[in-house]
Amino acid sequence: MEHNQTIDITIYKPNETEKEKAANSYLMSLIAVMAGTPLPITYFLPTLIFFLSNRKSTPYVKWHITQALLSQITMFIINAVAFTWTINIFFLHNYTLTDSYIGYIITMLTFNIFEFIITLIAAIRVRRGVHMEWPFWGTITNIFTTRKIPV
Amino acid sequence: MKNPFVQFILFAGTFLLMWLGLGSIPWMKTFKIIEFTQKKQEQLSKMILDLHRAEKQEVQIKKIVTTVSGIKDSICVANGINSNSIKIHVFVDSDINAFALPGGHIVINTSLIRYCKNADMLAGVIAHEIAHIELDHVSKKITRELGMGILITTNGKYSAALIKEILKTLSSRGFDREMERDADKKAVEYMGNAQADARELAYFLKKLSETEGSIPEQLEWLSTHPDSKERYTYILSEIRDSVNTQPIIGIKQWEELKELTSNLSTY
Repeated sequence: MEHNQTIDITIYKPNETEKEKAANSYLMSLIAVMAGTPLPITYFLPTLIFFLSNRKSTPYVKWHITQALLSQITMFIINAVAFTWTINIFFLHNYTLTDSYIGYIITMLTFNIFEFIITLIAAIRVRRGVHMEWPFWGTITNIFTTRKIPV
Repeated sequence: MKNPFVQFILFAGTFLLMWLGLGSIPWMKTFKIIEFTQKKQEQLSKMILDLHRAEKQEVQIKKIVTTVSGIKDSICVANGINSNSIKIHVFVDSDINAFALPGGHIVINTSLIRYCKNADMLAGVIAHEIAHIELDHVSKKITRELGMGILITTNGKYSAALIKEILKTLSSRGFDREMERDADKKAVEYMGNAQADARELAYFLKKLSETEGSIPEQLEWLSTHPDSKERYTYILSEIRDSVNTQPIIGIKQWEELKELTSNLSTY
């Protein structure tokens, strides 16, 4: 059966399975944080695995998984820089402790807390069927995947 | 605002501005991190020197100490370094060795003074050790080999075994190739600014490399500073301008220093 008619994702009414899967894509990134894993790559891996295992999912679910994954990739880059810098100061001793390093760590933590809060809000709202489109990540998601849902 | 490029610029810009803003706050000064580690280094140095004094005799002859310190002062003044922050300790020791300790202390053995052909040669070695201090190689070396806890431990109690280990690390293991090269480069700069002959540092290394094998057990400085021949070539290549040099101290003063140390040295 072909779907010729599409509606925008903002007015689309997802079914229960779609709501659950879309909400889980956001929760995936919180699992590693709540488990207290120290490596930044572990924050990004659950979302990546969830993304790869749901590639064949419905366009609604795919859209939200992509948005969650893109936000995680951004945070991964920010965290990886902090992680490498920290290792080089405290373990490899290639660099010394500087004001710039402390400034970076505070910025990184602020962005992580902000990302954690918006991810949590997104997970709750998407579970209720409300579409959440973040600035920047949502815009890029629209480039990679369609926001038109077949009906 | 729907343009992803504009949104990326806004996102990255926010991050960079926040980082630059927070990075410009003097956190290290506010939380006295630098003062704390400096105090710890001074404490550590005192303990290392006390242990070294228990094993080796520190030279108390004023003429020797003031002459060697005078060489150090000349280098410091010419390079805008606070000469009071660098302290010289001369020890009676048959090892041809000099090494820097945390907190700006430099240990020079009498055998090293005797081994040097002239005052500029000794000045070259001192300039090299000052460079290690100024480039923060000493604390980097300690933290690299023994862990960050050494300099940030709060109770300040170090066991005798640990102090011995630090002394061994600093006096006999030397620094890595990159650090040695940086210190050599800086030493050449220091010597040039002090109008001393920087080539003497290269000749010192050449002399050491030539005598390698004949008295290896005494050549501590050589064993801790690998690739002396390579460093000799590197130092000479770093000396670009043939500026008019002047001996760092008078010949008479140097001869007097050599004579005084030869009476003490077992070399």
